[in-house]
Amino acid sequence: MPAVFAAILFLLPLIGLLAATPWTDLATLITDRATLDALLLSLECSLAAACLCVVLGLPLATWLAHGNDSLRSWVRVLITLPMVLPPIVGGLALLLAFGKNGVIGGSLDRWFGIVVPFTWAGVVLATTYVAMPFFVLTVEGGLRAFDPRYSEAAATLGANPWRSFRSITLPMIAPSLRAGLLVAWARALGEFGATITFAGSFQGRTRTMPLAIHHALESQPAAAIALSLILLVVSAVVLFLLRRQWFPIR
Amino acid sequence: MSVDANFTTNRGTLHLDVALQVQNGETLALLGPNGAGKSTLLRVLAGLHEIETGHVRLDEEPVDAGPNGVFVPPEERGVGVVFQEHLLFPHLRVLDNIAFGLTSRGVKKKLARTVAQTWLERLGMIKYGNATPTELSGGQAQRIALARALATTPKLLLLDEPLAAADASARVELRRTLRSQIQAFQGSCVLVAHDIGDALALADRIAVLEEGRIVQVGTMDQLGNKPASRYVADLIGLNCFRGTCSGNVLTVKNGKTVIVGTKHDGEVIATVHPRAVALFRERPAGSPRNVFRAPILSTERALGCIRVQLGGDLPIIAEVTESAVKDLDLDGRGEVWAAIKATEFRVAPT
Repeated sequence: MPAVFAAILFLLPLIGLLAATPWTDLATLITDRATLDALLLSLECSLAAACLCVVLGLPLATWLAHGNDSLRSWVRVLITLPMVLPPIVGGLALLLAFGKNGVIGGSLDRWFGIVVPFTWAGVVLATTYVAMPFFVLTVEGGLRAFDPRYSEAAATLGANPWRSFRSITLPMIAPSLRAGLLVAWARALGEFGATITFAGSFQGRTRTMPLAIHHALESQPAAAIALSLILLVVSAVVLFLLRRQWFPIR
Repeated sequence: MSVDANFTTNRGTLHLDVALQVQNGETLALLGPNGAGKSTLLRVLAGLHEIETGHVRLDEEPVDAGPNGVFVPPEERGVGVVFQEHLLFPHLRVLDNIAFGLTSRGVKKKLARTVAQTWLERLGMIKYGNATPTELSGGQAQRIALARALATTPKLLLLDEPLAAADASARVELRRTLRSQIQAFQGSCVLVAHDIGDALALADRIAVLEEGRIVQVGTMDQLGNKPASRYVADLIGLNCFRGTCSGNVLTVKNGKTVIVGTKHDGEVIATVHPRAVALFRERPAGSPRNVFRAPILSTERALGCIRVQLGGDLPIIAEVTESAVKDLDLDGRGEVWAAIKATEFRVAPT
């Protein structure tokens, strides 16, 4: 019985959303310039954040998995923080670091002319900040479960550490790589609090789907529902397409 | 490749202190109780475990000279390893597992696969090139692991209990394969053997490790003639007694004395072959110096003979023929007379 309740708990909001959807106006709402901007921006930024997670997160996860010293446990606490903090706090902290009067934001602006907050890059940075911990911790788990004797076998066969990592370790931890990437991407797609605080809500520049929904909810609730439906469909399609490769049922 | 290893190292609670030479083309078997350091010794030769003092030289070239000296990493040593649990890469097909070592060394993928194919043929595994390692039995997987190691044409081959993963029915066949491959192999070979039978079948010489030290190295005959420890004696089926000698009287631990054929003084190890222990229903007349009555604990059929375990003051194993068992009515348990000539004892000071 509790299982049924649990399933219903996830089903009911979906039904509510579908029931309230203004199906007749849907076409106009969806083809609206602002909607398309938001959708495109969301996909771009969440994918960019996912890429950053791999590029920066994989080396970090590898380092974390190769030892048990106190430095590593402190770093782990540091990167777990964004998972626990309300994203809005994270956004505020980013602003205090990268803002015009921030710790390094001022120098970046003065010396390089780089301004991160309230830009496209700001959205990517904010979503990466929130999403990367999920990737790093998932992949670290995978690496720790990996039997290092396979790397030793590869070494005796003449593979240098880099080749061993690339051709043996990575393929063997592929399930946790995929899971980490999916969770991080999903987290980036839905990111709201850190983004709105750090990057603001400018249509076409920083207003991603969740921000657009929040924006529409105040002026035209029907549009907010339509936007939500789009986000729902996009997420569902991605999950459906990836179900075999990412969550193989055995 | 000749191996010259003389080093100490630690791994967990094990302290390994080893001096070992293997000649070019020779096969050496390592035997010893669990935790004696056999696998760690192999790991040191492969470059997977670093030494703390001493040196490891392959073909006179130092590959490990301790913490402050040279260290050649495993991928540059030209040493092939067959691990106890085969460790085939589960995400690669059998053929690509064998080709992995070649592509790692810069051989083009196509050529590497062609070479891998010839190894499949050589080991009678041609059908399994496209199989994944999980589809193989233990014995088949170990064959592929052997092919994977040999395909890189190593100069030194290391095998860690290569027969352990195979089930009993496949073991005979796998041992035959190993034997022929090791004989065809040009380089030197060091293998960890599970028992004396494997060691005899596969190796030229045997090194026995106990608690991180090599207690004895030699051929089977050398080990049998003068076993250096109780373990070595048990290993090759000899009766072995530790005791104190005074002249030709040996006093074993529980106070029982036997007469031996040679004179010694002090702590000794005495061995006597089970065939030298004669059994009688009635007290034998004649010359044997050691005659005693002992209860039969068990009888066991071995190759071409019956091994009789005697209890009492001098627990000992006797090997007798089947007809002797009938004559003596040994199946009925009970007690028998045992006789051992003094000259049958081999006594060596410890």
